[in-house]
Amino acid sequence: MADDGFDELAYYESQYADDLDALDELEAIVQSEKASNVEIPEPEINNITEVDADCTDANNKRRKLFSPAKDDFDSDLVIDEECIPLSPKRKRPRLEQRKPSMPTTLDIDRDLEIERQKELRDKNCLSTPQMIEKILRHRENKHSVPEFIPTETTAQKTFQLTKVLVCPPVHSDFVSATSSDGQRVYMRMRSHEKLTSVLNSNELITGSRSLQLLPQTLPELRQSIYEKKQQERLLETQRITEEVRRETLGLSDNTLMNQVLSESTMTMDSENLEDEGIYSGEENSNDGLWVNKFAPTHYTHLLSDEGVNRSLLKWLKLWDHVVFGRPIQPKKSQGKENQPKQPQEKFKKKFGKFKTDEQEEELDEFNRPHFKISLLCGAPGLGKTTLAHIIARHAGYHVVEMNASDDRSAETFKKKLEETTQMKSVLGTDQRPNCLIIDEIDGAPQAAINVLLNAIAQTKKQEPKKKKKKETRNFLQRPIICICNDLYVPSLRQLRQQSYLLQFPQTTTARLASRLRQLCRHQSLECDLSSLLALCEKSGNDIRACINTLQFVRSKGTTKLNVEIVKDLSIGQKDQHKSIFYTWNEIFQLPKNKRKMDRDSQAVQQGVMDGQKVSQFSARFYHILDVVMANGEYEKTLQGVHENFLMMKFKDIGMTSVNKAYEWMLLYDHINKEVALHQEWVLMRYTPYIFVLFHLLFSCISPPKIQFPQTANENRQKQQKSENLLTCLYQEMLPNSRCYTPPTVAIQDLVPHLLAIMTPSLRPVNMQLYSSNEKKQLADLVHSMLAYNLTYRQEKDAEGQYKYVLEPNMAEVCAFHHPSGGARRQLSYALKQIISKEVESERMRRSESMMTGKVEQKGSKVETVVTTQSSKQKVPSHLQRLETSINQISLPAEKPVVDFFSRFTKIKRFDVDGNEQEKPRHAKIRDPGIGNSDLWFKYNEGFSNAIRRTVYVKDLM
Amino acid sequence: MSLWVDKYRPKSLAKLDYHLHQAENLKMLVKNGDFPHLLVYGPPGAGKKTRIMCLLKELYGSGVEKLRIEKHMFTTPSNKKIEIATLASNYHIEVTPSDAGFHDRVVIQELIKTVAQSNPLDVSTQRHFKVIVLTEVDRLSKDAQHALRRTMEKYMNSCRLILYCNSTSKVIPAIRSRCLSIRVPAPSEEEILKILTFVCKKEGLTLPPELGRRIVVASKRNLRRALLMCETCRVQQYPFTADQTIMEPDWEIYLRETANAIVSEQSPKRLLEVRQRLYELLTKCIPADVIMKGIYNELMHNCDGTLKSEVTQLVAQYEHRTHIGQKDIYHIEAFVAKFMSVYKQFLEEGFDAMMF
Repeated sequence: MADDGFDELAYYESQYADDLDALDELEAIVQSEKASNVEIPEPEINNITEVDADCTDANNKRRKLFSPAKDDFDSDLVIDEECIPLSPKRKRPRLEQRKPSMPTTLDIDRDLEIERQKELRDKNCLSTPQMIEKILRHRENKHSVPEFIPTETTAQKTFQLTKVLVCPPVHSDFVSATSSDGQRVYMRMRSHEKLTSVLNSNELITGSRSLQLLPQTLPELRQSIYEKKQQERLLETQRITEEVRRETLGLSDNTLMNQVLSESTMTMDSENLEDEGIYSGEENSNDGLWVNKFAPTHYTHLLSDEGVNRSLLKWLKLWDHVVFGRPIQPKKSQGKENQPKQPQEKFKKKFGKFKTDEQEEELDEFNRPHFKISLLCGAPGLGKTTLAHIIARHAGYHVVEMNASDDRSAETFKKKLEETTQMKSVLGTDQRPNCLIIDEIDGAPQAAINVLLNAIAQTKKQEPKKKKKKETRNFLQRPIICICNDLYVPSLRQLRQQSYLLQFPQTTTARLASRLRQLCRHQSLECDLSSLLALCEKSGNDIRACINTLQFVRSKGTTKLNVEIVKDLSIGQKDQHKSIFYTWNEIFQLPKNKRKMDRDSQAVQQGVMDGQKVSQFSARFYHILDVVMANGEYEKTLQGVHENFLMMKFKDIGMTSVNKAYEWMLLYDHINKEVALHQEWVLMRYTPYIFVLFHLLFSCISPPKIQFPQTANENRQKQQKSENLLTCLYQEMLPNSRCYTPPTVAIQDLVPHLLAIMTPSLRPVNMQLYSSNEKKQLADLVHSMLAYNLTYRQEKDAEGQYKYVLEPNMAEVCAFHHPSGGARRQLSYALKQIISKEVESERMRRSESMMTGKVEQKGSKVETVVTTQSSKQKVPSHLQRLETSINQISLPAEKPVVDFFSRFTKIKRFDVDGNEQEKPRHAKIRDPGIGNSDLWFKYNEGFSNAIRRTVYVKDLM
Repeated sequence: MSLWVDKYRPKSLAKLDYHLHQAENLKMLVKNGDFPHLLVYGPPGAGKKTRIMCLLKELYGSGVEKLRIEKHMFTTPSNKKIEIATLASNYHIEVTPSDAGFHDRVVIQELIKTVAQSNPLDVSTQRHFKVIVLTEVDRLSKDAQHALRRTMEKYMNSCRLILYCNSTSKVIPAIRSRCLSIRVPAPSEEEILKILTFVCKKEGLTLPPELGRRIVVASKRNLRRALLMCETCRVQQYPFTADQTIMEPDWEIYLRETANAIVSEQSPKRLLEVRQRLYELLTKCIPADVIMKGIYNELMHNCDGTLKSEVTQLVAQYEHRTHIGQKDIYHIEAFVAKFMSVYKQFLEEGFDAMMF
């Protein structure tokens, strides 16, 4: 079997040798480089195997193309498919290649081949010169048999090849096939492992080295070129450092420069390593975003703050116990520290705010870290996502990322969470445990975040259950890293407390600049350090923005980056969302650092570029404009400005500047109204200029004390409340009084007076004791209160005392707090009680009079309700009662049935079923006694012994 | 119905107390059963609404007094639902479109359309038109007023409009020309006094003429206010004395204090205090123009001739801008600031004149 394998390889050789012919003219060079090949260190072998594998791959593919049916077997077919023509063009050379292996026609050749293979096998390793000899020999052979007839060979070959058998082989699997002339042939099947093992054996690899198209493998070539470049670069960098050092002496930003320099010299040593990391990406420099291309791939390449990197890694390592089942090493050290720990504890108690690492390193009872989630936050472009990915990979996790582009409804979120934290890929090659990275979590809906919180909380609750070993399923056992830009989004409030917070500091400008320089060098973009520093500052140390800008500059064809280009660029400037307090501060404070402002403001730079002289005022003008526009919330900004500007220290003779400010505020207001009313959004662009004016008028040197604007909102709420009270009053007001008093009038005239009218000077005694005059006054009051839907309502105040409050409480709307006026006269509790009682009874009286009117109308229509008006009879009430009581006595005579429920119903039913019309007649017969009385009773469905009587409210009062 | 204001309100044209000649004219107007669109205007408390109701009663009989509150729903083009409460009898409907804020145009168009399109069933017993009373027309937005002018003509044969407002200056001329304008001037002081004594007599009270006169002055020829003040006096102290206190609404006192604060000091700090007071007034539902006018009136006491005209011009200007703007507080403050600056200058000039 092994023979066959060698055979095949021999053919590869010949094929490659054939190809080498095409490179005849290069031979001299190739030869020389072959010599150097020997020196290639061990690791290169891997590359060669790769190449080999490629070759076999290609062959496999070809096989698949030609014998799809056979391909189903999980083994390689050893068939000489070289004989099958690939394309008409290739036919002849292929056949020629075939010839040496045909024993019948060219015995010598075959012998030679076998001999050679034996040689191969015996020597185990072949030096290249020998191989070259062999190839040359082989080539001669090829040339020596040009007169061979191709058709014949194809016909004979099928029979004479040892691999193709006429009868089925006994000891191994086989595949049958029918040849072109109808003959049945059989082929052995060889297991895949065998073949691959043969292919991979060292012997073959060394043998196949000479098969390369190039004398050296591609990586080797690359390496050599690279080394050369490295040398050059080393020289160049040294030169540049010198240059820069000289340069910086003249520059003002001395410290920063030095920092960069030290940084760059420091990195110089490690540059080799870093460069490898940086440049190991794609080779062709033209396509692909630089951001992706130069993204760090190792922990050591990270640009972000070392402290943050470390603490995140540390936290992630704490999970090792749960995830990988290996105890954490620091535990040992902790054990050692056990004795001296006690003083530390004391220290901790003393300085409670000191959160030491030990605390973080503590594991809970399931060996999980204290915080189940870590939350990274920081401005965009600092490398948060990159950090999370790299660290997770570094710690041996399989990264699963969720970000804003995913569907983040609660259900999908939950599903994904469970998928990643509780499952593990079984089928894929990646057997590493998952680590979930939730990117841009600040944009996730509250519901989704609640799911996440539940996942944490759930595990806590199930701790007792866990002891019973019942539910370990929903137990969070994988680390989750969340990333956000804005930590103070309301939806993150709870998460914030339950997670390990890592605030991203800004990348140091120096570090970023030095990295950018490496990048520029690699992309053959000339640049000096100061321009890179300017770029960093402009983008606010946003790594992504910087790199993108550089790529943009490069793609424009520029090869040299200087400060002018950076300043001129309209891109690379981020809309930085600074806090609103920053905006207010900028407005009310005179700039300290003029240079910084200039750099910020792009328009000023434009002016500089155009050669115009930019005054300090216009610099401030554009700066404020930029700041305000970047913030964008003009409405809120103006509120803050409005509430604070009068408190600023500014010189103002005759209040002219205040007036000017108000003029602008009115303009702003007008514009806003127009925008809201007619959707004239184009006007919005004029609004930010008002803040510039405020800055120019009211800014001062000392830092301003700015309060968050609340008064406007508070007052709006108050006004809303008053308006609601007013509508409340109007809702139940009698139409007639409503007709004559529009709400504005009511507020201005009517209600204040009505409140005064409602405090009559009545004696707080029982109503019965009132004189007729007082009674009239009270009645008048009650009437007018009812007309305007006012009443007193009992209420319990904060101290638990009862008091009567006006309802709706118009006093609140109309009473002003004024120190001079003194307290308004208040009614006593008793008086209010009397009034409210009277109002209630009057209201009942009125509603009843309306009701009775309706009932009378109904009563005429509905037969069942028999109402008799007691007033008609004009019998004194006590007499009536007597009569009815007599009647009532007469009734029980027919009532014994009632005691037995079942009987009663039977009888009743019988009555109903028998003659429905008789029943009223019965009633009428008995009526003469009862009908005129005040009492009656009535059967509804079923049974009722209730005795009814019409009672009017007025009878009770 | 027992506030004196409501109790002694005349219910028919014949019973009106003053402007008798005008009452006669109104009677003649509706005598033949029809009348043009009306625009009734006049200061508050002059009796505009009373006259309108009397007119309607003259026209339709006592049926117009049976009022009910109806709620109408309107949908704005932006699909916002607005609910407007209307007062209606069988013969007329009364709306305050300005309740709808700046969606008042929709209310006007929809309402008039629905009312005008439903013709009365029985023409023989009723008039062939319905009456729509629009209150507070001066608070209508310009859009709504423009919408109104076409609608007024279009539905002329099935409805009549009675517009009613305090001042015609905010009503566009197109509408003014389409209506018969009726001005209801405030009653003279004598007329008010007469009415006050009449009411007191009816109530069985004796009103000392001095007190009556003081009430009349305090009421600034606003009859409603005069009656309310009189009743308040009755509640506070009876029998009346000539020098008893007459209650003023709180907000007026507060406004006066604010004006005094402005006059006494002109500085940003004082402006800040004034702002607080203005907020207080606004939250108590006092409209911005009322505040401005009130402050202006108080400030006038401290200005001399030339300054008076200047300040008047200012207040007019700022009041106008209140209407084209959104945030009342800005505008009132702006006026106060401007006044402060003008007044300060005025004082300094006066000081200089005294010195030299």
